[in-house]
Amino acid sequence: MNQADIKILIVDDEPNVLKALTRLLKQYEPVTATSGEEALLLAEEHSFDLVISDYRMPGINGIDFLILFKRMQPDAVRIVLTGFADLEGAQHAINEAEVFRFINKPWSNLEIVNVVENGLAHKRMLLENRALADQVRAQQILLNEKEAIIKALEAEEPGITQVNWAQDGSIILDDEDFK
Amino acid sequence: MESDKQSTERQATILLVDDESINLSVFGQFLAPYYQILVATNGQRALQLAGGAPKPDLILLDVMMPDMDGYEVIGQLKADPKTGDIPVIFVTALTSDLEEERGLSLGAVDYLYKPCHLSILLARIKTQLELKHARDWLKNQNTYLEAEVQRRHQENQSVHLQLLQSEKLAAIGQLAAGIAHEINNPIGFVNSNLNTLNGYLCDVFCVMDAYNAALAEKNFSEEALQNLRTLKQTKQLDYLRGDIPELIAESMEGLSRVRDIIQDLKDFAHADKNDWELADLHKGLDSTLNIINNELKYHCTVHKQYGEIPEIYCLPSQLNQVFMNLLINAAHAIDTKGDIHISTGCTEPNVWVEIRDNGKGIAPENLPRLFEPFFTTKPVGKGTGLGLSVSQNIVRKHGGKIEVSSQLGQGSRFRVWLPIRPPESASTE
Repeated sequence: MNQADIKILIVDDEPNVLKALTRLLKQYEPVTATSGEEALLLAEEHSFDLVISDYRMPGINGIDFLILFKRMQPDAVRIVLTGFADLEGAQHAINEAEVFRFINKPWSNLEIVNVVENGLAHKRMLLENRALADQVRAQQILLNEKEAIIKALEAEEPGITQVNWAQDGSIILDDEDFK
Repeated sequence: MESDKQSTERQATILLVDDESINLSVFGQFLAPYYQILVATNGQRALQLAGGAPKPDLILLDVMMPDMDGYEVIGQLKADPKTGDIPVIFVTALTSDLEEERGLSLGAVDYLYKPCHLSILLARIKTQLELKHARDWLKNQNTYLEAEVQRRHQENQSVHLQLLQSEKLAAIGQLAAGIAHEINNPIGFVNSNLNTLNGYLCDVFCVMDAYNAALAEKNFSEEALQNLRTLKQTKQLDYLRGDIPELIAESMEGLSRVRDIIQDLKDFAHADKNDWELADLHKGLDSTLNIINNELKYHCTVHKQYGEIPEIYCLPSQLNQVFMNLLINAAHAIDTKGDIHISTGCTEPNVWVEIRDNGKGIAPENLPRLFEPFFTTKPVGKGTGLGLSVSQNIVRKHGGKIEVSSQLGQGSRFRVWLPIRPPESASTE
């Protein structure tokens, strides 16, 4: 995945936090929003690979925003960034919003970059996994079809599907085959 | 019982005044077993003895005496505060109502005619002495009680101050999480920006080093120049040039916010700022709003409608405590989203500050108990129940009052009235 193709959304009510995080993740050219409501509007227009959201915001709070976001874009990686961590909030986040990581404020730059990279790798893996599983399923369907045809033939003419192959590729016909 | 009294208490002293020594001798001998006796044959001597030690507890005074008569003597006795409280019994042959009236009006406690039964005299003396004893005891009690009242008053003052301080600190404690958040946020992005700046500087120096190297080697070939241009591009120097000033400005803004919050907190928590001074209430309101910003910003919109008000003579840090209580109550009354209107105005000789919210309002049955200490409708742990009670005390101390009006489901309105100049008694405390 080309860096430029990855889209990251950052949501925080504090503009200076958005500026600082944008600098940090400049290579991904992140999109920012100062409220959950604004972010949801953006989510209707663009698809994102990863979203980082603050927890405590005026208006809709971070977890409720992520729950709604998840419904719209279930494949995106969800990260919560917060200076206000309570256990109930964390449980709620993990269980309902299926948040990938919880990061505390003040954050360390390295930690953010790591988490973003891990998150994106995780997403890549999930998508690859899904694609492979789809492939396997498709192949399984083909296989099933082939098996069905062979079964039908066998039912009509028993033994017709059993072929004696000689070393040179020719077919050996027995007397029995002519009965 | 009498002998008990006399053995446990100091024996009373009686001063006998009579110009005829026979009378002195008769009375003296009769009274000697019961009392300590002093004698004087004239007014002058009597006054001397009365003002000396031991101080007589009672004076038996003859009226008819040469030089100074009894009435003159009593006049002088009463005129001197040292002797004025000694009960005087006139003992005289002048048997006339007029004389008795005169004697009593001059302040004598009794008027006896000679000759008198000595036992009657004794009884009268005893009565007067008991009365005097009771009076003295009362006076002492009063003095003691007054001292106690003073002491208790002092104690009350200091307990009151302690309570104010505790309530203030409790309020701050409740706000601590929010305040920590307000400080944490700026620290977070300042820290991040500094780290980013570090990286930027590495890039800048990298490019500088490349230039220096080229200069040192005097290598100005087209290839070398192209390499330098590419390096500048890779390191995004143009972007850095634009971003670095922004980064620094944002970081400084963040730190100045932290500085303001801490300064406001210091001002608010300042203990015995018991100095009356001229203060701008708007400054106080803004400073308080800054401290509790975190409590309000997520679900309340604050509207400020400041009028034109003069500075008022007050205890600013205590008034800030009042504003904080009212604002936090307003914020807690609002459930999901709401508005708080702060307005101020001046109506001579007072100024007013009004805090209005459209929260859940106060039930009418709770209104009369609003300012009661420890009365609260909040769950345990969320508030001390002292906010309004302490606030009212502070406002009263300023000679002002707090008005409340509220509608259940619609909101509440608190208006604090404060005189521009406080009453004399307040500022001299």
